[in-house]
Amino acid sequence: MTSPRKLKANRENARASTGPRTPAGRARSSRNACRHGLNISVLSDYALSAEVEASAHEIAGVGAIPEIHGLSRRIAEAQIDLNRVRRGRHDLLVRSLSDANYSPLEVSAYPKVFAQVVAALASQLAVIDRYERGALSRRKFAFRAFDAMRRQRAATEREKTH
Amino acid sequence: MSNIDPQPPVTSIARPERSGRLSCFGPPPFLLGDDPKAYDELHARISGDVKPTDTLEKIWVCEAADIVWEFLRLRRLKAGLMNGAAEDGMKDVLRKLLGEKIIDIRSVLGQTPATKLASKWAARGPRAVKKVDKLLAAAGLIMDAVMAKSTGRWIDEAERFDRMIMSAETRFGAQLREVDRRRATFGQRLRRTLQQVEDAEYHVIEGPKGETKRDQPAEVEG
Repeated sequence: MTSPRKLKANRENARASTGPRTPAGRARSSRNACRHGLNISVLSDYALSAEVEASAHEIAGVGAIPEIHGLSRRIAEAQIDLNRVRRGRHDLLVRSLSDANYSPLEVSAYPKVFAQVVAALASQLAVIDRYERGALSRRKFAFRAFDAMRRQRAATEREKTH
Repeated sequence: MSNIDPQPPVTSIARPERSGRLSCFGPPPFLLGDDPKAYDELHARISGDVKPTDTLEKIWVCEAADIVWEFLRLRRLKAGLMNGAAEDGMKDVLRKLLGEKIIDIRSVLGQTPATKLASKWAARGPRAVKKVDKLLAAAGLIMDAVMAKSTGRWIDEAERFDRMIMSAETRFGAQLREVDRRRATFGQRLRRTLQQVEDAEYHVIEGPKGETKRDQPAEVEG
């Protein structure tokens, strides 16, 4: 069991550890949770949320009911997220290939350079793959919900006409 | 992990609108050496064959084009890697056969007789190929010895390409299952078209005794 003396010392030390104090340190630690930005919802980004809205309209079609529009927004959100993840991977690869000082004239060396770049980025690419799988899964279920709703609507329409 | 650059990278070809491609998909994932025209043709061919009827099916067509594009690129890169590795392996074998020392500054610059001959052999120069065959035969070696050398050196990289190809294929398999759930005929047409696209990447080559093989990529591109 922890002695009262140790407990007191632990509490005092914990009170002293309140994170960075300088403006530079605070600024740096404020970005701790933002390593690649792939965890942030696309809706919190103004440009991406506008893209989601435009895509949702494209998917739902003209004159869609609010339920269908809501479900098409789910598809669009997953799709835009998927684009963002894939663009992240693509940019990472392109940047790393540029950093590898590869000359486009050495066409025969390109596969080796590419293999080395992919090997060096293996852990980062694995993280991106995980985000991609997540976005694909969200899109799959959004597709299913959208289809189910459309089928339900069609059945209702048929019943009305009979 | 580094932050995502909002600006399109210099070496990528990023055009927001391409024929038949949905705007919600963004630009195609081109890398150095990719041919945008070939991508457009692939997309148009898949789209023309499977005839998507709504936006969801158009999304699947875009997805199919992107994944097929990715694994065709990976296969080309793997073939390129193995071809390059064969040249390295041949250099090693020829150095031994021609009695060159391993540590020779000229070999780094590609100037020793062995490295020069290996480069010409890799470029399929008829005289070099004949000379290499003669040297290997005299030493009682066959091409397998060269391939063993080269495969050993680049085995990890080749395996990495294989894993990436497998991952793309798995992802695509999952997509096809979803397509089947929705419209089986669309899924069948998509499968058939992609099989044809894949087959077009391979060509028939003559084996040593006249038998035909179908296991070589058509060409190696960077």
